Amino acid sequence: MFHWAFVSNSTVAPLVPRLKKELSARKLECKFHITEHGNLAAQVFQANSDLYRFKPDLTVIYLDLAQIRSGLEHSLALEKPEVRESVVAETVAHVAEVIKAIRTRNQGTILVNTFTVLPRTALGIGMDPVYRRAIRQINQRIYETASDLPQCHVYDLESLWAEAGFQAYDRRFEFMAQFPFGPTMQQLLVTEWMRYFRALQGLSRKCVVLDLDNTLWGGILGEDGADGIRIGDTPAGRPYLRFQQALKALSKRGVLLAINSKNNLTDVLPILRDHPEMVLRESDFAAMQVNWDDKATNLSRLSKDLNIGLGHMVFLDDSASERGWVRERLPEVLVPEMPREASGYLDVLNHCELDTLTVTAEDLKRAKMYWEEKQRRELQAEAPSFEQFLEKLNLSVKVELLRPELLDRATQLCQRTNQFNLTTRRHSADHLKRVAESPNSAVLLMNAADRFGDYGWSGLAIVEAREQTLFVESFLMSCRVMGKNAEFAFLSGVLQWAKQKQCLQIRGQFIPTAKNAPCKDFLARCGFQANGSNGEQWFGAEIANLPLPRVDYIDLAVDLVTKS
Amino acid sequence: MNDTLSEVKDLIASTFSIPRESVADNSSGQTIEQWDSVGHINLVMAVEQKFGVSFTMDEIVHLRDVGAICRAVTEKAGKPTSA
Repeated sequence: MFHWAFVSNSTVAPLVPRLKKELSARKLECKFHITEHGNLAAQVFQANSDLYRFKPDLTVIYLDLAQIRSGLEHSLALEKPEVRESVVAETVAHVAEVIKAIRTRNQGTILVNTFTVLPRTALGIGMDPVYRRAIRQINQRIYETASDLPQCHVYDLESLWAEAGFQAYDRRFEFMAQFPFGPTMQQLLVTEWMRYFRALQGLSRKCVVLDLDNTLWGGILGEDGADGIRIGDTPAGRPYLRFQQALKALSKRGVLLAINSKNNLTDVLPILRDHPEMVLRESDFAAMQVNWDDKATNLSRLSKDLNIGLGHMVFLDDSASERGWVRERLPEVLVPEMPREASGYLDVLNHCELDTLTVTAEDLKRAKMYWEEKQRRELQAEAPSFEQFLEKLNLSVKVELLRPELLDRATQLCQRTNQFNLTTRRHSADHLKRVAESPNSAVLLMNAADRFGDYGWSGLAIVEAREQTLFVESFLMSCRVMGKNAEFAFLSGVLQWAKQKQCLQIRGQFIPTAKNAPCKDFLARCGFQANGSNGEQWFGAEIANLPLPRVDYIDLAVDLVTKS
Repeated sequence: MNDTLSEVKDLIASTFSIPRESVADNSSGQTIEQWDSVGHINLVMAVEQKFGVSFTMDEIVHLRDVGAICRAVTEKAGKPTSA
């Protein structure tokens, strides 16, 4: 169960019921711990405090500047520059002390606020810039402090106030309870924290499914024709242009885009391919359902095609009836209200639960890989047989020994691969390194590519030669290369290493898990004989007579020269 | 039952996430556990939002029971009371 801790030198508790409502509306069970006011020091600076025994997964810090130094909005601008500078430095030091104390005593994620910058003060336009600059300097250094620490993020009160409008600042409750947050600001704060929670818990949405007519462009393609739809740098086209630009940026960040439209595909494809003003092109969409079926059915198909759960999808459609239908049929899909005018579409994207904390190289390549996979599926659908599909794929497989720059990827493969994994042993980087350095064992890696794209390093085998027998400790392949017979090419690469070591026999094991059924017949299909007992599924074969399935259509390159 | 009384009791129930039946005409900070100083902030804000009124700090301090809230709302919003 997820543990939320709140740490404040002021008042934060009135926000918690609102957060609890948000969480329970989504059936997300969490526990909470609140430290406020004078308790902060005892809880934060003592290793064995209730706060740390609670083991928070996420600690939300809310520090009120007035509790650190009161009245800065009227004193700071009147001070000498060196005094002002020391106030800034001391305030930052105080905040850093709190964050670092929590960081050293708790493993969870930390969220810390910046300070509110009042839009104006009694001192007026001559002095206010001095005050604002000083507070923003503090805030800037809070960002720097946080970014130097692992799993530490900043939520920006100044931006949230800008969004809420400063009329949400409630002086009455500030004076009565040190709690200046009116209802609008409360909601924004809770929403902001929820964004981090979702990203941490893997609950963020991964795919935006889009309608076309009056959503991606203005007008109805079937009626207005290719020349009649509105998109581009004109007043009527600009809302759609900007909307598409934002979607394109999301796609570059790793969010998948898909189409769900009642249209004729023969009308739509020319627009995606050739319309001069379109920002989004055919290759930007990981999948498409363009037909006259109902949109809930189409969403289910997209979910299946992309192997992405409905709970990770967002559906954007200008039609209220389509939205209503999908909400009723598929409650897991997020279906935001759309404004009546396209000028508001852009802002809808800010509330689609698409947040991620960091962007990996994998995220940046995702859209491209899905597009490549889509083309493969089309080729497979056209090919008269599976063998003919494979022949047309021009698959090439490289097998090489582990070298230092591939260690991270090799470790990741051991940790993440579930389906095609004979033994599911989660080896550490250290272990892999030792295996690779030992003269009688090896870590072999497979890289694969086909005419549509590169799969990267996507297979791993750990083998050991003992008394002329090759023992296969691990043999695994990322799911993205499954179904292409690459595993047979990979194994024949492994056998070349076995021959180098003068092995005559080969032995391997299948350890069943909840997820690895897809490879349970692999060794048998390679010609191994089952000879295990007591439920252990051991397999063996003579290397010379191994009837490996022929995979002549795969271009295999094996390089077993150790590189260091 | 008059509308304001009923609406105030609805708000108390939803603000404190407690069953509507547990809110009585004479409920107060003394009888409802969740109606503490933190709860009071949220309740006052909810009442202000719901009825489109705004209370002074002095008024906020005195809104400690269902009756006081109903009277204050009626006075501010100019809604007629019926016994």
